[in-house]
Amino acid sequence: MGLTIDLVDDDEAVRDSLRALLESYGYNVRDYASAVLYLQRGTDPPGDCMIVDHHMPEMTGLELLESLRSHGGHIPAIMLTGRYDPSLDPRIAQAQVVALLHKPVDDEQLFQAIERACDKNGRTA
Amino acid sequence: MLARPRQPARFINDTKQQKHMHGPVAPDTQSDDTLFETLIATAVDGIMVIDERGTVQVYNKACERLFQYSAAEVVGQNVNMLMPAPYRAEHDGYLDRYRTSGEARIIGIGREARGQRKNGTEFPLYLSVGQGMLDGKRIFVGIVHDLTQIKAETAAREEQRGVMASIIEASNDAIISKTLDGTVTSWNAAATRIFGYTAQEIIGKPIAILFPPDLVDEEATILAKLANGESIQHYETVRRRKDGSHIDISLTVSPLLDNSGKVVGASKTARDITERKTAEARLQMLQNELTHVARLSEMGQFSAALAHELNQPLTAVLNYVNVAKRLLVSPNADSPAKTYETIAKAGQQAQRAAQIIRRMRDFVEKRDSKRTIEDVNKIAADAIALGLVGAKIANIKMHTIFASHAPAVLVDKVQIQQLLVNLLRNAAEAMAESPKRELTLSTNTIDDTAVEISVADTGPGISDEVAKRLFEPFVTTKAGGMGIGLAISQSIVEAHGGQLRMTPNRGGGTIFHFRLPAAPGME
Repeated sequence: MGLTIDLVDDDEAVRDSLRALLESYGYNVRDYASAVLYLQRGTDPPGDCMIVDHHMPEMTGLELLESLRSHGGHIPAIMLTGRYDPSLDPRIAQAQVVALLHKPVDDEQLFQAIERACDKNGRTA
Repeated sequence: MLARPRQPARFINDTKQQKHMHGPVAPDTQSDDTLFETLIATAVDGIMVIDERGTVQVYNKACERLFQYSAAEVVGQNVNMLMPAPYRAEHDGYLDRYRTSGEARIIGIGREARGQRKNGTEFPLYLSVGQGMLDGKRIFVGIVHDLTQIKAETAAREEQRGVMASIIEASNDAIISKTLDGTVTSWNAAATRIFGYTAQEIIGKPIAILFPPDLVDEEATILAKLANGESIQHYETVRRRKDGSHIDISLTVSPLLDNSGKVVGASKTARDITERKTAEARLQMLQNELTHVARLSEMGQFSAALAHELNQPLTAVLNYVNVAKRLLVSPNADSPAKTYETIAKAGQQAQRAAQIIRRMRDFVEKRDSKRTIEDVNKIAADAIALGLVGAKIANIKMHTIFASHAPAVLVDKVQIQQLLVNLLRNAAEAMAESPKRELTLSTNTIDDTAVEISVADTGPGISDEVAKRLFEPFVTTKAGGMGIGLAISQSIVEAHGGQLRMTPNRGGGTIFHFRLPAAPGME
């Protein structure tokens, strides 16, 4: 059975296209249009790994991860960003981000990162 | 009237003297006598005759005016009554000495002396004394010329000269004069303070010893201007002190003319502007930092926002295309329909990217609603002030060639300034590695409907390949550049109805030029 990826991105086109791409590779995808919606998903257990966009209104991807980590969440995370801000590096490391990928994301890099992330979680694609 | 002495005083010449030795005036000498008396009476200078004891025989009208004593008061008295101390006491001694030894102090010559008026006041005079014989007796003829006026004028001149000299000495600016071949002829205290040489050390030496080696040809330029009678105002340059250190000065040089109007030298005032320069440099550094920060954040924010905006659809396009590729090779029955749908979505996202670019251009173009009538030269000058703060430090020579009667232009001032700042900075950056760094900003009246502005640099120039795509966004020759500047610049020029063009600069480098519309109907 396929692995489940939680996808959080506020841009509908990015979300939709990434979902289609991941599904074409056989992953199950649960997508969320904001960090808040992800936190409000209820009792659903977390996926095998998550892909989260950093630049989102209301709550950034990094803030989401920091919130998860502070509540003992260990889900491996890949972070996407459209603009790189080196001052965030320490926080990104602290939030145990497996890979920081720059948009537009190279698909090979993305799948390598997903494999690494899922390995971490003891699951293989 | 001529004061008649007890004895008639006659001393025109020997023959006349003979004639008049005795008795009353003969009829045939009447006219001579009248002439003589008129001469004495009308002479402006005082004329008096004394005998060898110093007794006054003749005392003319001018003497009365000078000494305020009437002839009646003086004739028959010792002449020393007209002299102040110590001459008064010494005069008899002079006469005695002359009588016994023939030693003359004044006779046959003249000298400056002092007279005393009846009221006791003194005045300067020039006294010349001749001697002759009358009735077998020696007489002395004195001519007294009043020097009061001349002395007063001289004193005033001296005083003025003294005041001038003390002004020059007290000046904070170095004041130096030199001959046309560059030899120092005067040197004030401030010059010593500023340059370290004392007047004694440098007067007579060539002024060129103040020039740093790389500026020696400056003197030739200055001298050539002076020879034409031109002056040089507030020319900022560098000179060398005695200790070899350099000093920033502001120089004003004016030609020195002789009485015939010929240029014979130059006077130079040099102001130490080190402090100002230091302050300027500090200000510039601060401005630099500020500009740098502002530019970073402005450009950074703009480019980051733009990058982010464009990244979203681009990411989606790439994802959709990847999905479509996989669907094409998928055996699933529904994949052709899904492929079509996915490719359509990719197309939509490409459209979205195009829309973002269009919005950016609209943003630039929409702002042109604020068109005002502006002086093109002022915009250009402001742009230099805004744009080249950092470039000065990089040792760039800035030239401006402004059209003298350029028509007013109808433009968005801020946009044109931004455009010029962008072009100037590009030019400055392009020349960073060039041996020759000269930036020329010129304005040129094309006709009464347009003014052309051009920015020329002496950088490495632009390759043909890059030149072809120069105004497309994201094409750049700069290591860290976004390549947006020229695209935006072109949009600004286009919004003003022109075209931003690039042509190679003769002798290396690049010229960017564009035209701006003149304000219509301005008379």
